[in-house]
Amino acid sequence: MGMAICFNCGAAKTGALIVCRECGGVPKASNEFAVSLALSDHLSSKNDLAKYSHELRNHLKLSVPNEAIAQASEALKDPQLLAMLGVQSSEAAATAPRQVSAQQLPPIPSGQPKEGANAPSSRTRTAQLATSALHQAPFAVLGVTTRDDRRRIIELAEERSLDLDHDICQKARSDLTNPRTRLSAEIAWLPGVSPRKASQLLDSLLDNPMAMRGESSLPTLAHLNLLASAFESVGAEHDMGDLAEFIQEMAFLVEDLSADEVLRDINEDRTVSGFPQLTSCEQIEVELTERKRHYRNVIKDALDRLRPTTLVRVMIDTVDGATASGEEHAPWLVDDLVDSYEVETHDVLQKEAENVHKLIKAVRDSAPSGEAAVKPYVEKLCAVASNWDMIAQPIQLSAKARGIDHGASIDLAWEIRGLAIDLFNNHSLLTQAQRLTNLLQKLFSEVPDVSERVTDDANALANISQRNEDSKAIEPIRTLCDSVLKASERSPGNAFHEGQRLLDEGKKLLAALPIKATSPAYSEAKDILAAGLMRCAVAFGNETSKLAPCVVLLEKALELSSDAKLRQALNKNLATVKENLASLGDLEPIQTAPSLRTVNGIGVTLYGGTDRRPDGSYMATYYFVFFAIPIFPIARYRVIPTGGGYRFLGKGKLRTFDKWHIAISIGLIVLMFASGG
Amino acid sequence: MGIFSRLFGGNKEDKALRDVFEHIRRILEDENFQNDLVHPAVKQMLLSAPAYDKDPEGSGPFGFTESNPIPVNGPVGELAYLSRLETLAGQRILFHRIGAIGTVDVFEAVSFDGSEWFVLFVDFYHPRRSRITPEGFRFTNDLAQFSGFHKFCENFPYDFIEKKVADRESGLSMAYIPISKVSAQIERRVFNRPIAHKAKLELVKERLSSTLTQ
Repeated sequence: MGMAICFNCGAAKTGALIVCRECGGVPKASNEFAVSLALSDHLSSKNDLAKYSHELRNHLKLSVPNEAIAQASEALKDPQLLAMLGVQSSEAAATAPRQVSAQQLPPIPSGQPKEGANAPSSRTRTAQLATSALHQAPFAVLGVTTRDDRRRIIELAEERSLDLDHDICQKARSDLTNPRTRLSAEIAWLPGVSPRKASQLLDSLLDNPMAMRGESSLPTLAHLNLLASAFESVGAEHDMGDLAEFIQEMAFLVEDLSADEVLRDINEDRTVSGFPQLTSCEQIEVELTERKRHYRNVIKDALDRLRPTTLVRVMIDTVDGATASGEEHAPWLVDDLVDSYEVETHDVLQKEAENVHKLIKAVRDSAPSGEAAVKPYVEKLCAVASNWDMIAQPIQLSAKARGIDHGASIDLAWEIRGLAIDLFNNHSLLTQAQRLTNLLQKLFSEVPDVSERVTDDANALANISQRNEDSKAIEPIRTLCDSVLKASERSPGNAFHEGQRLLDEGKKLLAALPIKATSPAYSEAKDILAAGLMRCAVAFGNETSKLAPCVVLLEKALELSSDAKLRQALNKNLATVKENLASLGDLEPIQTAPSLRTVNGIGVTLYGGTDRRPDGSYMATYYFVFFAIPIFPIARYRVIPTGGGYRFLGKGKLRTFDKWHIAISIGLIVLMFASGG
Repeated sequence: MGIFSRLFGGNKEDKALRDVFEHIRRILEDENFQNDLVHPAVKQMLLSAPAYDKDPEGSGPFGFTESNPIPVNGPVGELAYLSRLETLAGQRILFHRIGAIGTVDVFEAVSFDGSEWFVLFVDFYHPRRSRITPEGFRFTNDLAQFSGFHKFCENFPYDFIEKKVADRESGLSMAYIPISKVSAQIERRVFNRPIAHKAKLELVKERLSSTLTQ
């Protein structure tokens, strides 16, 4: 993407000739195209662009050099670019505000001109009509007013027969003088409008049909009939946004139609013309129903003159505007238009839905081959489903506003949702499943059932995706743990040091993890460390029977762990180790029990019993004895007496007393030898 | 080759070579064969769509706007059609896909000599390729071996060789133009997009409904 600034407001944008997202401005005239191109990095440096932006924002004179404008003008001779700009300029006015709102960008400042708002666009204003349905009405054909009596009508019919087709004049005369047909003619004319004003309006209608939209203080029915004729001027090039607004204006005006008001207006004229007055609204209501159908047909004819894509967009804008994005009931005329639209698009939608089904099958078939095989089909599926949805959108919005389900949308959405679930559950294609779920969220936001369910899916997939990412993030901790455990297995005697290494390095890794400390992955990482520490403690304890270091490791592991089962195992191991530590202290393990043999009171044996424990054990001193007199203490053992012997639990260290005992014994022996010598 | 081998249709190597050439020819030219290369479901979609040279309801310059795309038969048909185009100056084109606007694929193309750049719009949901060319093009008389990709090339056209090598597994590699025919063009030339072309790309990219990033 390039860099450019808006010729209108000076804001940065990503392309020279695209819509500005800040002000909604888009170049339309040739000089605007040239300036916009010059205000891009295609022809200006970054510094220049910053300067131009400043000038535009501060309403200073733009200092773009003529050479840049000349180069831009030269580039603008490209026929394809011109063709693209033709499309762009006609679409921009209608689509820009919608794109802006869809992307939740800042609204267009109120100071900016907003084409297609209340005033008709300049293009629509210049459209003219050669004739209209109103000009073919019996009143217009004969040039009579609603206040002329039967005699005057016959006279004028005779007069007009000299200029016009006789049959036409006679039919007009008959329509106006026959009580059965006069009411239809009156309802299709301008009831309640003075003859002079009616004549002016007919002239204006031909000159500037869209000006009828700005007429105020006209009776509703007369205004509607003028607007219906103005619809005849709508051509294929009519501005889309303006047309959607025009339809809405017409639809809301139809809602205001009142049979009582029409009855009053017609009777007022009949009082003057001498035709019999109407006594009830019943006849009026029948005629008004027919008239409403006429309005619908007039709008449909106008829509049919548009290109198909334009027609769809106008329908979307119309229904969206009339229902406040599906939140409010639409006027009758809009509902009726949507019903006709649904019938007419049924075949297209069905065919596109079949294409979606075929692509879904293609995705399913290629899923076992992996992401690369699935991706192109998913991409096409997204495109075809988006097309389908664009056509179906007016129907979806209308259904939402009426509180009913659009079955075809729901069916299609479930089908795509099923595929997304299948891709994830059976093929682990999370990215493509997320892509389809996002598509569903975007396409079926107007279908409440689908929207809710798919939002849940999207959240679930997002969580899984997040978990996967988190899981990748804690991979270094897994690797560290594996290396520590392997080292401990190779050399269990070093398992305590390995455990300490795991603790030190693991804590550093934990601190550096790019995930939140409250996330499940963070807890998982701590549990991995805790489990590793536990295995180190077990390996070390089994190998060395040194229990105090094991307690240290297990207590650290318990601090780190959060998993219930792991904590249970840790607590159990810790209790066992502490119990053993309590009973054995820091005794050295012994492989075999020491000899307790004496011959004539000379040999080795156990004496004493201190530090007694509830398990019945005590510390006894292992002495070299001479005539049963303990001469040298050799070691101390924790023993449990077993009738005639002892059960040796472990070997303890000599006490200070024992060391004095040895020193004194050695001293006495030396003295004895010295005195003997 | 001896007279007997001629009489009996050549030796086994000749036959294998002929089979390969026939296979390449079918990939490049045979629309039915091209349609067989896509998934059956997609093929069914292609075959159920109308066959024409130009959308009768299309508007705007043929092939140069998404409202009047070139109808072709599937992704292989896109490669086959675009590879057959040459400019009126007799230059064939290198191309890659930059994305899609709805169901219309958008390709960027440049003539072999780098003098002309194009943005082409192609609709592949049709049973056969168009028999007409966009204005400013004609069909080449050369063997139209594929000269572009149905994917996005980040460094177009300089990464043509890299992409071709990466595409070896696609089954279409043998139908591609030999690297020797394009390498000199690509390596010796500086391909500069004209301002108008850059502006067109920006306009198109703004409207893409899908993009390929690989």
